Amino acid sequence: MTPKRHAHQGMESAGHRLIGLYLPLLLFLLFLLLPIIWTIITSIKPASEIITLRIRYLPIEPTLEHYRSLFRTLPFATYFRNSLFVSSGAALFSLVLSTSAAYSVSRFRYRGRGMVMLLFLTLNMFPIVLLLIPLFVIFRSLQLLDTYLALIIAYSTYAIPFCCWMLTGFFNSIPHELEESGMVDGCTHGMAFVRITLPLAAPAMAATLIYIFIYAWNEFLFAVTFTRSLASRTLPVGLATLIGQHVLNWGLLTAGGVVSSIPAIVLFMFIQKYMTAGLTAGAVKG
Amino acid sequence: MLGLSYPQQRKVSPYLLLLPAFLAIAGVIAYPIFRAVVMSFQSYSLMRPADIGFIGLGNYVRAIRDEVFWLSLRNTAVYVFASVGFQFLLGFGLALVLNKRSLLSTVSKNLMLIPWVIPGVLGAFMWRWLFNANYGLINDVLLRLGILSERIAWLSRADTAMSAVILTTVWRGMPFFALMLLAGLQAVPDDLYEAARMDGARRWQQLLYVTVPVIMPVIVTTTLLRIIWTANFVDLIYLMTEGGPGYSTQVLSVYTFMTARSTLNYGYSAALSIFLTLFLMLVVLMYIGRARKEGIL
Amino acid sequence: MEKMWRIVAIGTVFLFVSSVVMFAGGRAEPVDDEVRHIRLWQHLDAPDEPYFYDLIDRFNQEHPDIEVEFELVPWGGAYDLYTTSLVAGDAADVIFYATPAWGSAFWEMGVLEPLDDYVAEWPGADQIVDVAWEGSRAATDEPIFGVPIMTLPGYLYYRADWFEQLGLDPPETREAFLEAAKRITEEIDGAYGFGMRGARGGTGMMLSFVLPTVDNQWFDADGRSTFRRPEAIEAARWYVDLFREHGVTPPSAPSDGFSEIIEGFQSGLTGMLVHHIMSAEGHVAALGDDAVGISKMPSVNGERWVEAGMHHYVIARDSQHKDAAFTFVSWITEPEQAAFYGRYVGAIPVVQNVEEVEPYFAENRFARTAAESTAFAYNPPYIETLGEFWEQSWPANFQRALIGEISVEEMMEQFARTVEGR
Repeated sequence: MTPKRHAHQGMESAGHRLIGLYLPLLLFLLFLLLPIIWTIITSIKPASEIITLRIRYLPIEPTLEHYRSLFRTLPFATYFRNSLFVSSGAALFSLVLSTSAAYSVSRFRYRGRGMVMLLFLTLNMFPIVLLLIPLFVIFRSLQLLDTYLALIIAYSTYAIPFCCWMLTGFFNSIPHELEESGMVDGCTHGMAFVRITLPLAAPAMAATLIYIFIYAWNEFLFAVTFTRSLASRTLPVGLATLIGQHVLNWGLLTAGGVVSSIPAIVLFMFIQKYMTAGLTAGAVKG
Repeated sequence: MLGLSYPQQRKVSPYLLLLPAFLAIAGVIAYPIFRAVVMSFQSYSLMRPADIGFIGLGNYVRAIRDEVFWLSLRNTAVYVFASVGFQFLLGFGLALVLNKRSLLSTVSKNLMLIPWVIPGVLGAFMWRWLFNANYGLINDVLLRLGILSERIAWLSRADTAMSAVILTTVWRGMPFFALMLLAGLQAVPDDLYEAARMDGARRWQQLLYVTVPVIMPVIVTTTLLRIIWTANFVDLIYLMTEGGPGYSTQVLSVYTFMTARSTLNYGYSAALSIFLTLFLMLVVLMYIGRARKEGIL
Repeated sequence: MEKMWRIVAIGTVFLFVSSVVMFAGGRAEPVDDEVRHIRLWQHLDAPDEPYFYDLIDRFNQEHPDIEVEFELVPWGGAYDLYTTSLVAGDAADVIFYATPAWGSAFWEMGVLEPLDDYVAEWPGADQIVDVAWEGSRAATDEPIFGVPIMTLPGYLYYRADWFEQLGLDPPETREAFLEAAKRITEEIDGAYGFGMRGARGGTGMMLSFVLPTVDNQWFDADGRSTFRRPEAIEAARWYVDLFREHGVTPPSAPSDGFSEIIEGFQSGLTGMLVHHIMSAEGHVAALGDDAVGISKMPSVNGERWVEAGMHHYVIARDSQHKDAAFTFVSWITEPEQAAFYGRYVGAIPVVQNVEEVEPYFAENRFARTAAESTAFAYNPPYIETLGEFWEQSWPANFQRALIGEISVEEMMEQFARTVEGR
């Protein structure tokens, strides 16, 4: 078995690689990261250098004062813990449910499946403001207000339709024949799914997991209405307390943004290997 | 299992697999949505709790007569089409580049997600600052490069505000496309490329005739989902321009949000959002119908 | 198949059960007959400073039978949280707000406790200045729903160094204001005269130049809006022309919000700014004490109007401990506490003779000018559509007038219709 994809890469000339790979990549990165770099630079500028008519690209006297006052002001560890619980809970819960539903829709033909999928989608077409009050009432009657579970449930239900659709798309792109050939070998539908489709879909599932995780990591409106105490408030709510009615402290805000993005990036680095791993082809041909 | 024969299992299992997701959604959100639909037929203002009652199609008629509704609808079409289009093209490009093996692309795979990961408030505020006419980075760089001769108030002009907002949306949404399409590309079996190469296919031909057809289901679903997501995206425009200047970046989602908040007239806001849902539904059905015809879904 | 089902089923059940057990456990209400727990929702502009927390600690120490639990609410989500939980009947006992439209919205929603009986028995009520109560009820014969604590009247900040350089005096009238704005725009390199706020929140600024021409009245005797009167339209045209005709504001004015106008003044982009005391510290830090001049809002035909920016405490109708809640509200709005709050959190307490309680309000020049400005600081009238006017109709139509999509007459007609509730 040759290494997956593009075995011919070795033959590419250096020039090709520059034009086909490094140059576009650098342009993409410039566009994507420019505001981020500006955020990081701002977070280490002293307050007097942040807004100036003649823009200073680099701080003259770099400082960590914003980070210090950030950690003094916000109980970051608690927010992290809460966000981590809520986001991973929502991600795992909705991934399990969506995988199962998407598999059903992708691999079986039965009446009403298209209808259900469409119904799922309408949910994402509704503005959240209008759903807040009834949802609030539901969570209150279940005694779930101000708990992780309220957010996990809210995020999961909101993410499941998207994930179902996404996973259905991915499953559809994996040829049925692979499973069928497995089933000829005596596997049941379920076994064929677990042994053949699931490994092939690992990158897709990793991507979906990241999607839900990031959505939950950044969601604000549900978070601010369904939680009150420090014990269950998530990072975006904590960060938002830094933006006052009459004060916008760029230093604190940018420092907070940098700090709160790091965990999600680190997590992604771990998940990444599932997205590129050559798990796939070996299992297919085996 | 459950004493069912295999054919029976085969009949029941798809429903059972679908059931947990269905229950989770129906249990939590069906009632709130039902409430919103009912509200759209009611005079329902939080500020007039005593006056709540059915008014038939009153809210819908009001929407049709509302000039801002039509303006927002037109803006929504422009905003969604342009943002999703550019997000897809650029995201696909990025995914293709990242799919090649190199140290830089491994690093980039982690970095590219940052626009999506940083808190939405911060992203919107940063861009508003970058676009600032007087002390924003964009004008400064363009002036230094000699591309501009005078400062442009990007977010304050009817002819540039929409482009600025679209650019920001593309920035935030591109990583999603890149991620999803990259995951799709991983699943393209190698032997297909090998076969194509043996037939003497060039790179762009491989892309067009091997890669694209295989990941077409992924392309269709991601763009479809993104259309819906973008049409409902409130935060960025609300934080950057609040629909301004005037109504030049007012899209239906933001208009609904602002109407619900500032007037507390939930009945009217619900009618506005049902219109949006119907339009989206129309788009979705056309899209899916087309995809079915082509045998993609 | 079986295995698959089992994985899905067990996984789902496990996730549900474990999360319920883990997180829903500690929700039971603490049973305590002695101490009444009061929840307070409030946003703070400087959550990193200790003053407000200190105040709450002091209350709790002085009142062993009441425990105030302060929950800091982010400004950006406060309105959504308050409306949702008030309607659903599960809000905090005491809520703070600083936006007049919220008061009328909450009161119309029927979710606030009328406070007349409490206020009647509260000796401290007399120490609050009379006009402050205007924002606490729909009309003088209607119930009181909130207790005012502070006000943030706007005044004029100007670049004292530039004014001296150009030989200008602080503008007393709108004519002098325009003159100064023109001179700054022409003679100071890269600067504009006035930092106009064209985005949401700029309503009061425009009204400062419009309402004085109609005797500071919003409505005529027949209930029609004064915005249709020719003198109001002319005044609005004058204000719009600062941008369109004279170009004395930055070209970004139509989308400039609160942070842009503050940053514009602090970075030397603009020479004059209408804002309140909360930004004073930042101006001094950025420009130095000598460069920051302040003056009362310029007059129009001898009259002045500024937005009062009143802050209130209200009690939720569904509160279980209204007596204790009012004990807290009355305590924090009494002169001593209000003065402490005003000095350190930043605002002008609405108590009689505040400078006798706390000399700072006479000594500090910003506080003094703000306190003097309370003489012509007004609450907007109590109308149901105030939020719609302030947050939606004003920014959209004002911006359209600025960029020339509609005429000033059309803009004022839109405003008139909104405030009339049509």
